Amino acid sequence: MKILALDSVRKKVFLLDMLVLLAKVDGKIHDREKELISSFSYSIGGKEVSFSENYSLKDVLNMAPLLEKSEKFIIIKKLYELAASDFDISKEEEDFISEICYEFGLSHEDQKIVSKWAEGKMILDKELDDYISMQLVEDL
Amino acid sequence: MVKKLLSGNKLKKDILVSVNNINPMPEVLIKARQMIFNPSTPLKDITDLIEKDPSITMKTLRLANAAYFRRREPVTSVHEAALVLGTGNLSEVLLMAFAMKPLGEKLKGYEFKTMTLWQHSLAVAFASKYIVERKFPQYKDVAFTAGLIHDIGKIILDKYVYERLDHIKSLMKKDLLSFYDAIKEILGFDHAEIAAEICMRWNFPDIIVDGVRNHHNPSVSKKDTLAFVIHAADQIAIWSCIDSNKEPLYVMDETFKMLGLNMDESQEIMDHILESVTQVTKSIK
Repeated sequence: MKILALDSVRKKVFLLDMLVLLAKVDGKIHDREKELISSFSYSIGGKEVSFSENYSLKDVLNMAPLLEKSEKFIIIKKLYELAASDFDISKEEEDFISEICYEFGLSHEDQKIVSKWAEGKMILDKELDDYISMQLVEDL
Repeated sequence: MVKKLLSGNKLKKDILVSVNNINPMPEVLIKARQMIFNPSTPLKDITDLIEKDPSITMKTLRLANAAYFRRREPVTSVHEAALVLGTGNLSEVLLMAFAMKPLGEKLKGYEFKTMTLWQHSLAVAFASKYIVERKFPQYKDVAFTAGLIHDIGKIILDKYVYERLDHIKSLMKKDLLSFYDAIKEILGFDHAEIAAEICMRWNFPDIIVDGVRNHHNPSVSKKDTLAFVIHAADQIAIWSCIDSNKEPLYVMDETFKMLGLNMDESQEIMDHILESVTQVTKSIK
């Protein structure tokens, strides 16, 4: 049994690069995306995140064969989390994630499971956002 | 003038004094939990005691009506809640009612937004409960509690982390350490150790104290199943991407083997915690 959770810095940097590429895919990087990426960078020593570097998906995908299936799932979920962080997954974001699923050799069914999860996550984030706003109003 | 920051034993002493200043668990809650775990206590005595505290009663009713508990009709009194939920669930609801405020605070040092730690703690509590219900039923009375408070040490450490944030970040960059490891390196101990101190102050049983203390490194105590459960629940919550809590990702082969868990089950747990945390969040609005 291999249950690895991105067990090397190289794999984590790979995910970080994917997150940056996804954030840029629809041409606008919003604050929640920046926050989420910077937060993930903490698990790899707060690595400086550059949104201006120019690299393509092909440049980073050479890491894919080294990943366990469990790690691929974590990566896809993290990508969906980022895509859903503005409460809307754009077509560009969906296509980008589909391409990665294809490159990872994941089935359409696997992707559907994760995208369904992303819908649930958006509902939770919205509920929390509403709760925090209500608290702020009560505190005023 | 640059403020000289404490380090080593002086720092630890100062932090332990802060632990003593943490909000004590309300007397009502301590007594109610003791009575719940004493099967000879009449239910009415427990609910009468809880209803003496209007704030806990109000929060308890809100949480008891969360869809998580799958009630068709809303409950309107603590007594009714105890009858329909059972005393085990009532004890969890009471703890949630108490812990929501401290765990929901914004933490400047850890850079957590309001409710981030609460959300993560809730996810770990639900995941821990899910694991023990299926694998280790003998821990069913303690898993939820241990999961909910496993990171409570961060509330105490936050001030110290904030004062040393620049140093922590430079160390992370220099040695490519995770946030957790850099904090541990600089402070000399981790939030799990402080959480265990808080658990002792709140008179939690040793099994919870030890499980919480070892949750980042359960292998140090091979026999401590609860530490392995919280460790697995913590990681599954992180994999589920429910919150951004900056904890490190661990290789889980040993823990999964020890608990008899597989990836399909961890997927089920991720779905379960997302649904449960959403339902509880809806109920507190």
